[in-house]
Amino acid sequence: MSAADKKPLIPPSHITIKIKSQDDICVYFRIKRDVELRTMMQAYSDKVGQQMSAFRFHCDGIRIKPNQTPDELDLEDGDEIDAFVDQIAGFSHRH
Amino acid sequence: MALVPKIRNRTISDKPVSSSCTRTSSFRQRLLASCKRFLRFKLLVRASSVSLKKKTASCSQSQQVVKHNDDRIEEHSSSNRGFKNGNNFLVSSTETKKLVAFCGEPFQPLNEEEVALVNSALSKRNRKKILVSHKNSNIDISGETLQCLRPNQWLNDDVTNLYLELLKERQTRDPQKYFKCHFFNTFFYVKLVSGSGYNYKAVSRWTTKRKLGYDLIDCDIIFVPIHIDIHWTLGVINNRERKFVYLDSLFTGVGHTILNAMAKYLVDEVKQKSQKNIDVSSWGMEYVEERPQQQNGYDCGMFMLKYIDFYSRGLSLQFSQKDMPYFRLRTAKEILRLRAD
Repeated sequence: MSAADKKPLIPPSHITIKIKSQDDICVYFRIKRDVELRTMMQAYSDKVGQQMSAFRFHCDGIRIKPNQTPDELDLEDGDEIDAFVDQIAGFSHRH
Repeated sequence: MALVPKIRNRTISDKPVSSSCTRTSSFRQRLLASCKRFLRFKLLVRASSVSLKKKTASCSQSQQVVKHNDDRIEEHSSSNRGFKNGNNFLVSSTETKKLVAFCGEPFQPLNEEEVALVNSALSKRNRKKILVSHKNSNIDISGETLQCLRPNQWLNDDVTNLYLELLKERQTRDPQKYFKCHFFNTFFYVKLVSGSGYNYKAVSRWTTKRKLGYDLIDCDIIFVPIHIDIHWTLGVINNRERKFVYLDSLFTGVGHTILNAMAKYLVDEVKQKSQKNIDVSSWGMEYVEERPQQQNGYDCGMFMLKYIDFYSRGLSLQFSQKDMPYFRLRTAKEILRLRAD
């Protein structure tokens, strides 16, 4: 009938992004293409119970900043983002 | 099908080591010259003892010339990068490599202004401040992050990855002086072997030509920094000398898994990107025993970075534990200036 009835499940302004941890555990987020990724990163960090600063978000090996948007990064529906845990090392049992 | 070996003539022009040399007084010049002669001598001794393949080594006035006679069967490769310095990279049975013994550069002292810059950046009032932002890598360095370059501190991923980016830029700036290297970030290996073990697919999109601007297999050396729990080590895929190398500043004789993963990765990468099957069974696998080693519980990250720095310059690893305070200071300066020299 009207255009409103044929509305797709995911509006074109949104995409689904998968955030994958180092242990291959995935969390899915539906986000707007033109909204900063900060919200999603924060939501992910809250979900896994860590500070956001403990994560390094990467897409295909390239670091992502919280103020970037899916549009800026050319992210597409179903793309995957890696949530790496910060690394520090020196080797000593005293630390 | 065997991988087509890509041996190139690499010429490093014999331009002055550092422009500052010309500005210094004659005394300093004499001092520098004698230092250079000494280091050249050391390099020469090392070069001739390290590799049997290096059959001749001669010392000229401003260069150390190392000639390799390579017995491998070489085929013509059409995918070479063409002309450079007027020398084309036609493959020949003899590889000639000229190495400028630019001994001063890896140990160039910091001037007063640079030391002041580092000290101020490391001061308490700058802890929360973002000191530098590197655009290409999206890495921000705050005062707190930089604190890891203080003596006795453990190195973190941000400083390490930013330094590797700077090395990449250094090489782009001055390609004649350094080997063509690829520097993976510290998360590459995590992704390659994460979760259910070795998984090439997880990293296959990290190295597309669109992202890198070159084919990974065209690189002379590929560096794979490795973070294991509380330790930094280094994996190297040496495409020039056809070997996989593992460097650990603390332990000896470990890292089989890492060497095997790198070998597997290279085969899969070439297969996916160039649709070729390569045989790496003839490639060497080496745990470098003769390497500078850490004598404490905090410098492994700095050792790893300097292994990378020296290898990309084509130098042997002529440094030791006592150089680490200087390297920390220097790295801090290079990060603050967003330029590695």
